[in-house]
Amino acid sequence: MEIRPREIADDEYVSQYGSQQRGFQDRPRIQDTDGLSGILGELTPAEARRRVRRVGAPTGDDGVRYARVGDLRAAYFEVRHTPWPGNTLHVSIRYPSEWDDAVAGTFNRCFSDPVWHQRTGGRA
Amino acid sequence: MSDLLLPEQGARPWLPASNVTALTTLNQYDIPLSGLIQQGETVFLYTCLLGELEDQNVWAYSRLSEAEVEGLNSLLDDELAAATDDALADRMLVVAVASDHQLVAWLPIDAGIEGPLALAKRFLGHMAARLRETQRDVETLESQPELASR
Repeated sequence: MEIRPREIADDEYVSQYGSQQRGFQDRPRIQDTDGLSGILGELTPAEARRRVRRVGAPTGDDGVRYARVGDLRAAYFEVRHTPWPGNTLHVSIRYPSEWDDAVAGTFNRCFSDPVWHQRTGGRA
Repeated sequence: MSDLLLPEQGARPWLPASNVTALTTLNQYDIPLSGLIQQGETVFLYTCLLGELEDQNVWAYSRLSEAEVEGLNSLLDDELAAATDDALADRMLVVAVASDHQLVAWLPIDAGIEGPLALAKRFLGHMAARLRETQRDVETLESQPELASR
């Protein structure tokens, strides 16, 4: 099913899903992928997990961090809504040249401190 | 044509053999996580069962009927996740382990209605048993007198 992407405004936020064990990805995972994924909006860790992982319930290992789209763009990252049927809020974040250690540092600085899943109270 | 996908060692989990064509990506997060692929005349679903963010992960490959292909191509979000679970039930699957985005080993698994988590658990149990058996076989071979005398 084709899903129409929409424009993302600078004052919107993207969530990046990560884990306590693994941390947050700050550069493409392999050479034949050209960017990183995010999720449109400020999702809770449980909401973000559901769009990425197929099995299991959220635990304290699940986390998210947030970036304002305008901040990513000011650092020259390209942020586009690239919906997939399994995650219609999917966002692609690309960098126009080599994604090296300095770019990874800049990417990390665009994001908030992580929010971790809590079983009771707080953001779930 | 076999009902089962024929993977190749070292292939990307989302393009699991050199004679496989990618048809549709259904979900992606940094890497493709599920989609439809074709090998010969047969359409298969691939999906990451476990380890979506990790360097080691478990993948399942399921032969699809035409109706299932149509269904998976027309659903979104939670409904698609439910249809994907159905497409992994009550049939023979190939379930594989990948490391650093390359297929390492796989087994045919007779899937019931246990669901993806139990399926991944059962696969890992089978795979661990097989590896233990292989290790014992290798140790037996290593202790052969022909090798000990050199």
